[in-house]
Amino acid sequence: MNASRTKPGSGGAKERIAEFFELPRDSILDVPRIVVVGNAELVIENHLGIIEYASSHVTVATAKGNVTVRGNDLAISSITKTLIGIRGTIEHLDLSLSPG
Amino acid sequence: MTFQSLWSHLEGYVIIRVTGRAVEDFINEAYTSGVELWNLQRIDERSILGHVYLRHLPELGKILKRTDCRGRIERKIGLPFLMMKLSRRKGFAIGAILFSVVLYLLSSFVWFINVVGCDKMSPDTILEFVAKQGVKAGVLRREVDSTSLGKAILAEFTGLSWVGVNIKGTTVNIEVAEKTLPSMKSGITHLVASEDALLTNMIVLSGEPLVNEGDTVTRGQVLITGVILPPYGSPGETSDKRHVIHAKGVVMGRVWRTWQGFLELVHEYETETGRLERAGSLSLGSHELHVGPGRGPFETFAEEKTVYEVPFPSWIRIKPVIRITTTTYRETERFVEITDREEAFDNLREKAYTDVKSRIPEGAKILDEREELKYSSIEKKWVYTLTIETLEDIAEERREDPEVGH
Repeated sequence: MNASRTKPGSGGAKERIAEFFELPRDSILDVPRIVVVGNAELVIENHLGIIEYASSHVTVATAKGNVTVRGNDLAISSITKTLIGIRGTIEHLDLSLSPG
Repeated sequence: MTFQSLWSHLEGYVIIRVTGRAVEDFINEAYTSGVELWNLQRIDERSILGHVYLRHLPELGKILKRTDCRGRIERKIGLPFLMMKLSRRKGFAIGAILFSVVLYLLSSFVWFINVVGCDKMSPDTILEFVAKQGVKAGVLRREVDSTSLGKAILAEFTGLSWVGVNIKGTTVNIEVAEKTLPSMKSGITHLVASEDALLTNMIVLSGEPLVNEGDTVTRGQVLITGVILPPYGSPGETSDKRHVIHAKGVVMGRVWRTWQGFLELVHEYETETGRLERAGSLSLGSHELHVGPGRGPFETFAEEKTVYEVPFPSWIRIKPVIRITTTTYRETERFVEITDREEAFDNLREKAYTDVKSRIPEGAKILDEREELKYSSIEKKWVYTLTIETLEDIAEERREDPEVGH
């Protein structure tokens, strides 16, 4: 939010609306929502599919870039159009997302 | 089991192994075309394991072809597969159904009849009667009317005061209560003295008194007889004409009960020290094999022997006698205890009182208690005597068979 204030007009119309009405961004934008439960469970909402899946790492595509989860014995507990659930021992979460 | 897994069992699902260069493409294709995948696991670089619903399998096949992957079903789980298996094994399914049907049919019959509560009567007579009424093994359960059957049994057997019939499963339980009839019908009942006593007073309710107030009687003596002879000189003065009744009455008498014991200050007794030795021997005819100490290993000991004879089946003709004997020797020790005179006397008194009081019947009235301590020059010991005098009903019933009677 600070970023958008210092650089007005950097986001699109949707983002400005979201900011104006103080709405959660993930409900309007395609920003991924990531929920981590301890180090054993992780859920990514608003994903765009799996790019790479191995037991040591899972890379998930989102509208803002890739999310990479690293760990051991990673398994995909469920996958639907809206969310991906990942189970296993999560050690590292890499959010190389584009700003905004 | 969660609801989710219960549902997936009902629907049926498979565990599938997907192998291909780009398995990720397969996953993405699957969820975008509505095929639900869960519990995906990486097996090796080229393949994964995943769970898929049975209804999605045709769609899955197309996706596999499109993404250039190969799929192999590893396991089939759930009800549809079970049904398939069952339909393949028709004989088994039919057998299972037949079994339930037969079990149901058999459970609607009566198979057992129990009679409970017969004391004097034989249960077989009741079973016979019940069978005549149409209740026997193999009869349909609903044809048995428990209330009317109970009434019929009660009407048939006069010796019963209550009959309860209930059906539990395939068993008919007949519970029976017999009438307890007074036992005075036949035979003579005398009243005899239960103790040696001096009669104080006597109330004769029925029967002929043979003793008078003030008499001394001995235990077992007939007080009131149940045989009434016709008056002397009357025409029927033979034993055949005697009148037999149940003698009744109250006979009060004074009874003396005593207890005697020596007042001893020196007690000798033996106790076990706890040390023991065991010996065993095996004997065949005159040959013997002995293990352990031969004779008493202690100075003083108690010996305990158990002999076990090896049994042989009856078809062996020549029976060698094989005996296994185990002997246990327990070491004992002799003790001499000298008690204080006061204490010994108290102990003796207590013993005397408990012994005499235990012999006094309920309802007796204690008239007098006398204690005596005398030196007996013959025994060279002090003799303690306790005498308790009571007033009690000493009449005791004694039955006599009419054939044996005088």
